[in-house]
Parts: sequence; structure tokens; C-alpha cells
Amino acid sequence: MKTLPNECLLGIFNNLQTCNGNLFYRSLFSCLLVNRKWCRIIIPILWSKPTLRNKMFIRTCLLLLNVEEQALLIPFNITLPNNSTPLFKYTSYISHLNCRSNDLGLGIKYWLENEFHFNFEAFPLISIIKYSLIKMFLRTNIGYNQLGSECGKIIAETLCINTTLTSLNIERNQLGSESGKVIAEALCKNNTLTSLNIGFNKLGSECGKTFAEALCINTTLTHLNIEFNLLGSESGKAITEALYVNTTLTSLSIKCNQLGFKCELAIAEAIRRTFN
Amino acid sequence: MDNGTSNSASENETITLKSCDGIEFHIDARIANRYTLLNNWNGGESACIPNVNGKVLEKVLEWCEHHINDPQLNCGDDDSRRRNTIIEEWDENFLSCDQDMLFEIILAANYLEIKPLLDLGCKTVANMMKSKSPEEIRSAFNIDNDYTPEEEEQFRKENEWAEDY
Repeated sequence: MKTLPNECLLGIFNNLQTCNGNLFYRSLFSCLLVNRKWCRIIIPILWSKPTLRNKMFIRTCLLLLNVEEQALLIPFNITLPNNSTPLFKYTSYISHLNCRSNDLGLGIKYWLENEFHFNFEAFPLISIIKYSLIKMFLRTNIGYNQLGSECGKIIAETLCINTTLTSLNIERNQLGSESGKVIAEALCKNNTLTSLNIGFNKLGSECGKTFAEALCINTTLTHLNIEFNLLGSESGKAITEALYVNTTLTSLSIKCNQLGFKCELAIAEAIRRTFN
Repeated sequence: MDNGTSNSASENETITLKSCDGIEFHIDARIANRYTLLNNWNGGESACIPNVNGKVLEKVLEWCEHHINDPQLNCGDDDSRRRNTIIEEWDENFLSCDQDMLFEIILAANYLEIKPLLDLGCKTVANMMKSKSPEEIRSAFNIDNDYTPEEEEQFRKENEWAEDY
């Protein structure tokens, strides 16, 4: 066993994780505690698809909040776990945030109930903790991952809460059209975000139109990167029209979107007229 | 790509492989066509496979021969292969050797890029670990614990969520 290279150990541990298509963690957890070498290999596997609906998971995540993210919770007077800094930046390994059926919200609820020994139904508190966690997830784990459509919805949800978030980079996250659309809709309600990079997310034409509508309403966004998103000429046209309405945007990256030459020219013209 | 080559080898063709300790094996050419890396050492006079001794190579080739007619899996099929945790009876018997040999086979399969055998070996070891405590795993595989007690405790706490699933 000692002679096996890491790639073989990885193969073994990957087999511990699944059984008949279901995810299991207990054996991986045991192996993680065997020694340091195994730990280093297992943590990325274990944390790639964590179980959100769990108070211990929430507890570890809360330990990873930075000062700014913790500050969001100050008005609510809750005591955060104050153990030493975690041994790994665990959340940086998350590749799939499965946010179906409000797992994260339930995990937070369980944690609150456990820590404070009474039944929390206080929605605002759960929401704000959820938001601070998502913010931390995005800080520790963004730009190169596959957050996927479900997570896109949580991002949209957090954008709708009045926030302090000013810059968001969710490039290359396979968000897809549906969650791209809810993010665009969230931009209509949000008035803090100034910079959004949502490039390389396969948003598609319908979603592009929703972004155009958002640009007509939103008055805070100054930088938008929406390149490589299969927008197509129709939504290109809608965005062109939106540019004449919008007066805040100062930078737009929209290359590689199958807009067509005519549409690209029209956008260039709109930018020339409105940005100057 | 592999289809072209495997069709071209007839059943009677053999190739010669030599282990690192000089033992020669004459095998069905279709095996070498299947696992391209084996082809590199075909032709045996002077070429021998480094890092794999005769005892291990014999086992590996025995497995290859038994599975010569298996359908070939796509390389990108990692997930579906992993999902299938059932091990065939013949394979189970084949790998119920002593631990050292099992790890030698895994090493050789990894080195020779015989992916299905590597997967099988990994699966077998994984099954040996299931439902064991860290201490039981350490003693089963003769592994030293290099954690400090405090460190081990902290890792336990930070990852405790995984224990429930």
C-alpha cells in the first residue's frame, strides 16, 4: 500500500465514494483520518460534492468566512464558531453545489437550532447566513468551476437581497440559460453590483434578451462581461437597443457570441454614441 | 482507432514479452493490440518491460487473456464504470491473492495502462476499506499514523459532516 502512487490511491478513493450511483462519504471520512498523505488526496474528493443539509458542514463553512463576510451577520447577534482557522480552504474544492430543495437553507436551520437550542423560523437570518456563505463560496471557489444551474439560482437570490456585493465573477460555470435568466432578472432588482463577469456560461439567445431587458432597468452596473455565451443575433439586437436606454454601463465585453457582422456593427455604433 | 488494429491481428498470431527479470511470455497478439502499451515491448530479444517482474506479469497477462473478448469501454466512460461496483466472480477469485501481489498488480496495471484491470484492483482495495474505522484501516494495510492528536481531532471535527453519509 505504501508503494502505490497518488494516482492509484485516487482511483481507490474514488471507488469509495460511490455505490450504485449514490454518494457515500463515511468510508472516505475514515480514510481521511488514516494519515496526512491520504488526507491531502481525499479532501478534494470529499469536498467536491458536499452535503449541504448538515449542521456540521455549515459549521466548518462558517469558520471560513472572512471579516467582511462575518460583518454581514453582526446585526443578528449570533455567535459564530470561533475555533482555530480550518486546516484546509475546504470550500475551494467544491465543484458542484447541489442547491435543490433548499439544502443549504435547511443546513443553516439545523445549525442554528443546534447552536441556540430553539426553533428558528426567522427567514431573514437564514437568508443572510446563506448569503454570507455563498459569498464565501464565490470568493474561495470561482472562475474555473462548474457551479451549475442550481447554484446560479442561489446567486440570483442573493443578488435580490440588498447586498454589499459590488463585483461578481462567475465566469465558466456552466450556468446555462435558465439560471442565467434569473441572474439577469435579479439585476433588475439589485442596485449594488457594479461589475459582473458571466462569460463562458452557455447562456443562449433567450437569456441574452433577458439581459437586454435588465440593462434597460439596472442603473448601477458599469462593467458587464458576457462573452462566449451563444447569444445570437436576435438577442444582440435587443442588447443594442438596450445600450441606447442604459446610461451607466461603461464597459461591455460581448465577443464570440455569434452575433453576426451586422449586429456587431450596430453594437459598436451604439457604444460609440452612448459611452462617449 | 483501436478497432482497426484489433481486427488486423488474427487469432494465431503471438508476440513475445519479457519481464524485467528476464522471463519470456508468448501471448495472443490481440492482447497487445488492445492495450497499446504492451505493443511497445513486442519483439522480445532484448526489450523487456521495466518495473514488472515475471510473477506479476504472469498474473496481469492471465487477466488480459481471460478478458480478451470483453467489449472495449470508451475512455470517457469513467463515471459509468465507477458506478458499477459489482465485481465478477472470476475477477474476485483472481484478485483474492495476498495483499502485496494485489498492490503489485495495481502498480503494473497503472504502469502498463491496462485501465480495466487498474479499476478492478482499485475497486477491490476500496471494498477492503469499506465500513472500517481509521484505526482498522491502518492495521489492515500496515500504515503509520503521522497525525498529531490535535491535528487528527481538528480534521475529524472539520469533516465530521461526512460521517453521517
